[in-house]
Amino acid sequence: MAAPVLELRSVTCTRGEAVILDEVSLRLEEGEAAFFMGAAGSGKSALLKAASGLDVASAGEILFRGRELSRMTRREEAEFRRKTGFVFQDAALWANQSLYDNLALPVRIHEPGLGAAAIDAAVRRAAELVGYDEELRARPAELSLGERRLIGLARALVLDPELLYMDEPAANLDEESAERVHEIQAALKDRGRSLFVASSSSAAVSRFADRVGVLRGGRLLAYGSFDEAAAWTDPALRGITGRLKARKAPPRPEWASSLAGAWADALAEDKSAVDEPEWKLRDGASGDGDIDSDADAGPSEGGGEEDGRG
Amino acid sequence: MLERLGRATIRRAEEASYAFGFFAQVMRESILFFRRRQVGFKVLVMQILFTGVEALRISAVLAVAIGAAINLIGSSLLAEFGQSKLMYSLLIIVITRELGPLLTAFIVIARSGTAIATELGGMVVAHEIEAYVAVGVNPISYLAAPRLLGVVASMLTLDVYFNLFGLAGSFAVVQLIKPIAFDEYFRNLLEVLGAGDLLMGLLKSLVFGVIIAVASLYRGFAVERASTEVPVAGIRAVGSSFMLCIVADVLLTAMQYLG
Amino acid sequence: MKFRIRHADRIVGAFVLVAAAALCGSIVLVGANQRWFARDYRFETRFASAAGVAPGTAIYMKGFQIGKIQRITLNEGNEVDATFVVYDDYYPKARKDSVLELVTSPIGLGTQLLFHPGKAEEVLAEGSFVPLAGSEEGRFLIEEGLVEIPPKDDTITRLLAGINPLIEDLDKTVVTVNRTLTEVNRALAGQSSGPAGRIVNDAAKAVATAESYVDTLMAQVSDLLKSANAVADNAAAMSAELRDPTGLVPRLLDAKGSVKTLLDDKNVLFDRLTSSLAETEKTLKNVQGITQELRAQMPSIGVAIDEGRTAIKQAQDVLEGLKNNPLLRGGVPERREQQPLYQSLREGEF
Repeated sequence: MAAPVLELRSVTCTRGEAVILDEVSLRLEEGEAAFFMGAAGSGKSALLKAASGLDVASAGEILFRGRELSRMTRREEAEFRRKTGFVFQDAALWANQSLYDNLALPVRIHEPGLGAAAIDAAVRRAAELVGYDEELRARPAELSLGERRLIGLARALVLDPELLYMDEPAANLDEESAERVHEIQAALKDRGRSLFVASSSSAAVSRFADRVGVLRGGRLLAYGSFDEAAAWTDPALRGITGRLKARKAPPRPEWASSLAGAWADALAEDKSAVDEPEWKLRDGASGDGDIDSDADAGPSEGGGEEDGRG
Repeated sequence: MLERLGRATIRRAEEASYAFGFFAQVMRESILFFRRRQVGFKVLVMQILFTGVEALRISAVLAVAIGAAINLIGSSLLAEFGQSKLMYSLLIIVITRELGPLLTAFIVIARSGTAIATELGGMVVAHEIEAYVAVGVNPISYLAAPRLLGVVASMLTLDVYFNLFGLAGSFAVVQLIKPIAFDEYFRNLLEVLGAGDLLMGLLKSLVFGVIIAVASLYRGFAVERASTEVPVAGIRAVGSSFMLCIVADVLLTAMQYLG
Repeated sequence: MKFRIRHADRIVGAFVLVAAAALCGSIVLVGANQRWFARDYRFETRFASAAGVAPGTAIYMKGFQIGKIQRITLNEGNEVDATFVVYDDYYPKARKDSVLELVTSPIGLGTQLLFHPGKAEEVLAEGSFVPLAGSEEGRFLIEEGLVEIPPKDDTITRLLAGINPLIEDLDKTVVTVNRTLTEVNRALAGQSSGPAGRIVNDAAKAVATAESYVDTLMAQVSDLLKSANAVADNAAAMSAELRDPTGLVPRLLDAKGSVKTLLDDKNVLFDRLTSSLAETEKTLKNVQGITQELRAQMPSIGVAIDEGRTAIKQAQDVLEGLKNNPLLRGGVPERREQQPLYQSLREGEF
């Protein structure tokens, strides 16, 4: 039997004296979508960060395809990051870089042989995927929160990850954008990708969840299949999962299917379209010349108003 | 009370251990900086631009003012004691060996130390650091190493400019007030300027650069969640950098004179 | 986008390059000034004391710094071995038979180490020993004329430096003459119990047995006596000078006299010293003439006189007072220990 794509064994996280995750254990099989529900402060975000290795667990083990995160070599960790994406609740875009550079950096890091044109193509495709067709030269501060979150999603998708961590991906988005996020989730599922999602949206859970978990006070109260979750009778769980509805797939807009179909081989094509033998970040890493990359990681200063930072 | 004291001691020891580990990792990543493919030279270039190039003006003004003051003292007050030539030794001691590196460090602390700490603190609060980790970028090698190298390079470069402006620029200023022969001035200056003076100035700049960068980076990364922690990080970075630079200066000076 | 952001690479490049160039330039200038790129030639020398000599002490020739002391060590014989360097520009001027001279300023302006090149054409081999002018080897080189010590620029130093050998020569000569005459007189009178007397007695016996030489010998002795009388007269005159309360010795011994007297009395004392020396030299010539005559007949007499002179050299009591004069004899060497003026000023109580 193949190792699950993600497995947590008695994972505990503390912050100071407080326990924010208490002995959480779960498995996520390849191609499954696990949705975690719970009230605010129940530990959903903490679980995602622990499961993705962004927070260091004080106890327990986290395994990605059977390999424990804390024992990964540098190369293995890079591979893990290459195959996973993380969508932050507050977008977490790099404020001192342009939107273009926010999207391009993961590609530059993990596909160092890729040419500028190929990077540009990947960046524009990711932006297109989330429905963002505005100027990519802008800085994140110039965007609304909703737009920033879409760009954050695009950044997580730019390398076509096999496992995507999503922290409230559709929260605070307008209806159209939220629907686009859902379509992207559906497309990822169609392509056999695994999802590890923290969500308060019963509708989204009803549509995409293969597994449902309920968290309270850092403890995983229950974790089971969608059907099991729909049948939970424990009042403590019903209060959260009570609005889950029987699965009924909504009609998918035309653009979503065409995009999902075209997306599959896009990155493979990009890799063959190398037009520069050695890509280096110092080259400024602009796409086709009309996007400026003036401050990659933005070392800034009092006078660095260009970066908009102190 | 004993328990509290013990706990505080353990916490301090843990903090010190963490700080040392952080310092070691930053140094390691900085040494490996040019070998890592993922790191950006652009970041380093921008850091030098902000820390070095933009600080040049204030550094130059300070250097010229101090140099001119010593020149005037040398050509008037010291001449009364028949010790005019002592001026050249004073210039070298003040500009090259002692005040030059220290004043440059103060300028860099005030401008870049605070900037680095608050910027990184802000990035932590906005989860930007986590975002770097999530896409596979090591924040130490991508954010810390180029900043450390940039600050160190800027310190060294600014120190050289401080010397240039302090020794040569001040000569030009003094020409307007009390002319001294160019040939005489530079010949006398070179007579007292030793390689040890230049090396000590550069060594101090190097040490101060490392101190400022590491202290600021450490304070910046130490921010946890609240945005109110960010300005505190900036203040602490300045305090730590000042204190450590002064201690290092005393130690290096003692080493030079006693060693 | 701002200019400095767009051209950040170039600006930073220029900023760093100019600094690097300035630093390299400074290092080259300092290096050239400190002779990093020039070759230095090492030599050895030896001092009686390290007073006034330290590593870094400059060595001058004709007012130019041609090198410096590099290292000093106290050797097993409690003398100070020193290594010094001569800069490559001046190395061709460092000839064989060169000497070093440590000059102490008589008015407390510290010491100066002078290099006097030998007259030889051959350049001094690197690593060779360069004696001090005051050492035995150095004096030999000077006496042999292999090296010349030029007069000092400083008038006082020059005067004092001139007086020293003058007094010494005078001292030696007078003592030698006196003792020689006494010995010769006693020997000739057959009263001597010393080696010279015995030899003369033996010689007399030999003369008695060799009658064929008696006349000649008597004639010689007659001449000798005449000469001896002349010598005795000279010696008497000298003794009178020495005994005269207003004469040479008291004037030299007089603490108030010394340099001031020498400078103020319109060279009267100086002239007298010179004329006394001239007289003494004449006397010595006479004595030499006598001994040569005697040596021709009886070489052992010459040897005896030589032995006598060697013994006599040890006894310098006639001018002992002169030697102890604080200014002229004891005073000059003591000045070597005097601290430089600026140190004295700093340490002294006002």
